[in-house]
Amino acid sequence: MTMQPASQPPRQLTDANPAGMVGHSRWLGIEVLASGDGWIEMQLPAAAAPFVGHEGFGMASGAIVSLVDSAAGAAVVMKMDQRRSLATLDMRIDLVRKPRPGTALQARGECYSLVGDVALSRCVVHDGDATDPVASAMASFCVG
Amino acid sequence: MSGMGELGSYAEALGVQVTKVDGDVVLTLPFGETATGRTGFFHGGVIGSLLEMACLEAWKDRPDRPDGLPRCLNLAIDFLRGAEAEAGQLHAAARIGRRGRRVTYMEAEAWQTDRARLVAKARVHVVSGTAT
Repeated sequence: MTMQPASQPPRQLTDANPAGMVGHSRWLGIEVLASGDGWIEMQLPAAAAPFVGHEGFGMASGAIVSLVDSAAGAAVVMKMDQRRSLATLDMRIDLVRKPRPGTALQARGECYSLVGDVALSRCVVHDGDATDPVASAMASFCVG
Repeated sequence: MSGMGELGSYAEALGVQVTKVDGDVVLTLPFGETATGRTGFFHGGVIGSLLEMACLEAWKDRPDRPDGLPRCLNLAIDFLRGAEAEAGQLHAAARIGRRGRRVTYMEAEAWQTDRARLVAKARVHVVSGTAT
């Protein structure tokens, strides 16, 4: 298992581009804060706050779903000892409460099982205090 | 149909369009760099978000348009196949499964060129009228 020191973005992610993100995640400005064996912490910057929740809806979680998908999947990558492809099979998200306006959101993804070609992750999203979550999720993946 | 301002800035930035097809509210998202996940495919989070938006739009489209604003309590998304960039766009629509007094159970589907070939499905609980 490749161990990554905390606060270093995972090599597998930084290989993609210097910011560690591509496409939708890069557009949202998602950053890797820290990572280790089977876990990763990501941040959706405050600048993306307009994309989370909306007055017209009580709560359109919008970018929270993307943040969860990114963190839960990247946690699996952090558990791999070699680069393998990843497809999300399913994801279940509880939207616990609205984030505080204008705050950055943090997501901690943890891959708690990688057996054969199936991986399982949990993810908690919060706006500063992990014990007061904004969203809580779990996801399963097929690993190529 | 509804103005983009109503869908929110995330949907607006992604270029989501809302139309009504045979009485169904259908959301359409064009492919672009902003929607990309792994190369050549839509991002799973974008698919999930579109399914959620479809539920909220369908909820608001009820004949007895209720008071208050809807919000999703939870989403359970099943990804059935990759959403290919090549198809150019992604569609989503939702229907009410069971309407309770406070909570509505909804089912949403996403597809590309053929509605019989679904990209993803979601089960969603929507609650009305709370601000928190």
